Amino acid sequence: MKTVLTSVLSRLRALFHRHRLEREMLEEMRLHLEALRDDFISDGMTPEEARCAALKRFGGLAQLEERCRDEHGFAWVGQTWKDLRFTLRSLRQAKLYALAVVLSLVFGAGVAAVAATFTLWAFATKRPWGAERLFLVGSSQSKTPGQWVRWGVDFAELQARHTAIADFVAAGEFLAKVEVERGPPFARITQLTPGCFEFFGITPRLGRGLRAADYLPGAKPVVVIGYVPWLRIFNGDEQALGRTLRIDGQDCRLVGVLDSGSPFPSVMTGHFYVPYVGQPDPGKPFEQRMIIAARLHPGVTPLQANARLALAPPVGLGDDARPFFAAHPPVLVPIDRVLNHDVNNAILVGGVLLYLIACLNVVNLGLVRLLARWREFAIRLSLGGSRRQVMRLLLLEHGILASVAVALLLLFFRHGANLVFAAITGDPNLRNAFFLEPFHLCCIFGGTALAILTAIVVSALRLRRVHLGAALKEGDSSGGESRRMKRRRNALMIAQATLAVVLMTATGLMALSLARIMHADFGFDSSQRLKVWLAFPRGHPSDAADRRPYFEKLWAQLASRPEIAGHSIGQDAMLPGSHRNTTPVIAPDGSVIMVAGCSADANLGDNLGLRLHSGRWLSNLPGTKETVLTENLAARLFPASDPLGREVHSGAHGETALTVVGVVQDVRDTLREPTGFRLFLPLWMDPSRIETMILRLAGPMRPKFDYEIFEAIRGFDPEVIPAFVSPIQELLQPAISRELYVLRALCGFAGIGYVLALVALFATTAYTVESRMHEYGIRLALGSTPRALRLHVLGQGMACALYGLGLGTVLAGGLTWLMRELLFQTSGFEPVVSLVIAVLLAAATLLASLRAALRAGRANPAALLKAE
Amino acid sequence: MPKLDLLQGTLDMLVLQVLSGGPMHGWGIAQRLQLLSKNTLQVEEGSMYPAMYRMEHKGWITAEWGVSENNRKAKFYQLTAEGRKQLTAETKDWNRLCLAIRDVMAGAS
Repeated sequence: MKTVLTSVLSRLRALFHRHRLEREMLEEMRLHLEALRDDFISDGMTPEEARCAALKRFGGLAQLEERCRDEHGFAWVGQTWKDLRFTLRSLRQAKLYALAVVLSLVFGAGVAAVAATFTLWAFATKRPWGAERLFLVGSSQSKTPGQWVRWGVDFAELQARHTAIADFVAAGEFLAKVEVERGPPFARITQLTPGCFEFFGITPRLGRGLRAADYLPGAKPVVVIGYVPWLRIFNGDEQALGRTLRIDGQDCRLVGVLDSGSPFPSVMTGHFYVPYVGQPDPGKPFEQRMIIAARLHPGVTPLQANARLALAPPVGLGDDARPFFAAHPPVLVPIDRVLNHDVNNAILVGGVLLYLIACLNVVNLGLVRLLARWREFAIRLSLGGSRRQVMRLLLLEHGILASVAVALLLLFFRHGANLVFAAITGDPNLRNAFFLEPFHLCCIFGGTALAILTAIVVSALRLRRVHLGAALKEGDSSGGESRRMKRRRNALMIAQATLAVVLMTATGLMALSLARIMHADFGFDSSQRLKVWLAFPRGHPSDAADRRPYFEKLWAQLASRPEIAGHSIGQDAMLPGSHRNTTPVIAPDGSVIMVAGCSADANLGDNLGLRLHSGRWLSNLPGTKETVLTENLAARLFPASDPLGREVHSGAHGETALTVVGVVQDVRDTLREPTGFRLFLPLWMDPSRIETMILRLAGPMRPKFDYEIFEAIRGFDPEVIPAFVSPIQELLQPAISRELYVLRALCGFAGIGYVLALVALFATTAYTVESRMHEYGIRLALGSTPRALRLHVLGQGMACALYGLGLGTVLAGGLTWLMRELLFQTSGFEPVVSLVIAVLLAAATLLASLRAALRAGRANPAALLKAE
Repeated sequence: MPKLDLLQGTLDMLVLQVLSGGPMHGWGIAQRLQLLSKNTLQVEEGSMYPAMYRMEHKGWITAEWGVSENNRKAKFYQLTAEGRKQLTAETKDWNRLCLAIRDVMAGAS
């Protein structure tokens, strides 16, 4: 062992002194030869005879020098340098091959590796420790976004009565004015109950989270800021801690900055995080919405916890609210549901598929290249070269290509990744949010290295079986390729086509799903409608008062604009709201149905384009207790009779009687929730809840008109918060942000996979045709036609594509199963998508095979046979 | 009598044995080998150098430039402690081999 170590160290030192050692070696041998020669001269030989005798006695000088260099251990340096130069020359002559491999590695292996690492990284780091014991407290078992909205009274109840089964934390949310130099005038403020940071194991990037001392009476207000707001407001300044932010008129000291991504579950994520110090009022249970999380104590199962939680509603509730809470007992929902695993899974699988396509591409191209150089390698081996030397050439070639690919990838991620990342997520604020962590770098290097190693191993295995005689045989055009080898190459090609089809199918289904979402019937006309939703901060004069005069004055400011054809005001219920069944209605059979009550003025029906099935819209005359029902509610309350003129009794005891004057088509509030029961009430019955103005436009909205309205409202009342001033159609965007994110990523993956498969098909077909030119010459000589040859080549390409299409369509079912939560009214098999993919694949095959087919058709039998 | 080729693997041992007598240059080692073997062993003199460089890397010998008895520049090789141990080990193995061969030859006759 010691000898081996000494030897290795000595050879390493020799590497750095090789020129000196070389000189000394030559000098030593020269001196020895001189001494031998002198000896022979002294024995009586002539100088010439003595010289020859000395050389003979000494041995072959050139071979001895080589052996000495080998012993010094640096012969390989010179040899490697020569090989490197040869490889570079060889790659210069095969530029297309080099480009294809580099691009495969960059766009396939590199991008796919990063996509996979982001999702794996997000899964590994954003999933809290012990997440299997974490739950959200929801209201139903259905898979809809609103199921985990609870209320402040729920949290108080859970804290008081159920601490034996779990620990609870909660987050409330409100919109508040934020006075900062750079940044929006208002923001989403998340109020956290004590212990939230510890509960989710969140350590801020800078500073600290909220502590127990922050919740004490008289404590100075503090705030923790999210990552993107920190970038936007403070430009990512790490000295921002300690600065003051004015939130809702209160100075708050910045004590922490969160990390990128969403450290909290998405339903609890906001721009700023402050302590929750309020006390819920059982008399007004729906004032404070909360998201409640629970961690079960060891030994408590979800089943046991659910059974304990399904108890009586919170104490102190009013008559109106009690039926709601009785109908919606707390239920535990696994927190994984909000960790976007479906999005991450889709991106991860898409990335892995693209990576596999890239690896197959590199392997396929490597094999084609090896077969094209088969004769060259055979000649080298026959001239005394070893397989190790040939392998070294292959290693060098692949190593150079991998190095170029990694260098390009690093350049891309240094300068271009931010833009791509912002484009995929659709959030331009994330342009500066992309930081390459060491883990990502490892995955880039590792992914590229693995792809290259696979290609090297496959080539090396093939090289082991080279038969010199067959390879050197004149006229052997097979390039050493056996039938089994051809089948394997075809199998690689089919595998690539299959994976590309899977990716393209997933992308097509996602695109179809999104198209269906965008054209979903919401039960009203969303075009040319601008929605203004105002949030009144605490202490605002209109916070809890009759807001009709306020909105009338606002309308007076806006009425002169010719773009606006009509307006309505009412309670928010039209996107992006969610269906809150907080109004009890007594059904004819005496049961209580929870419905969404929505106060509206006399124009809302027309301005919103609600489709009236029967009767009329609300007149809104003071004192008239009338209502308009949605179809589903009318059918539920009056299944066998005409509801018009009938009475509906709302309230816990049915104390309010409303006369049905109209029935409208069911109205959808969100994309995925089923349409709920809704009744429209006259505005005068609850004027303190008015918060929405719908502006019906005379024509398509001109650019930046919504911004003008926004500024007009801010000019009218700087204290109010214009939470939404957007065309209703644009309000769909946040609801489909996850789907858009997945679609953009899959489009990128599918596009790259498509191009890679095309490149592989091109290279494979070109090589196959080239190696069979003699055969084509013979066929032509025996009576075949150029057209038949061209069709034969195209047919072979199409066969690969057909196999790929068939297998890919079957396998795509697996990927779409993973994406099932993201798809909307779309199954795993859609004929339109399959047809489009078949056409695209046929086009790619035609494009890739055309050149080779034309080449085959132009075979000259006389020239080919003469060359034979 | 015709010269005999060196048995494979014995050159190192012979060189170490020669150097056990004191530092010597390559030409001197070749001369000494010839002398001690009474011209029986046929050695390509140049083939010692790869062996000596190998042994130098293994730490069995060290080398230093000096001036020979003929006032010529020469590289002198010297045995190290490790080299002495190696020589002892190889000598022991060689003696065992000789005994074994002798026993076989004696038993066969």
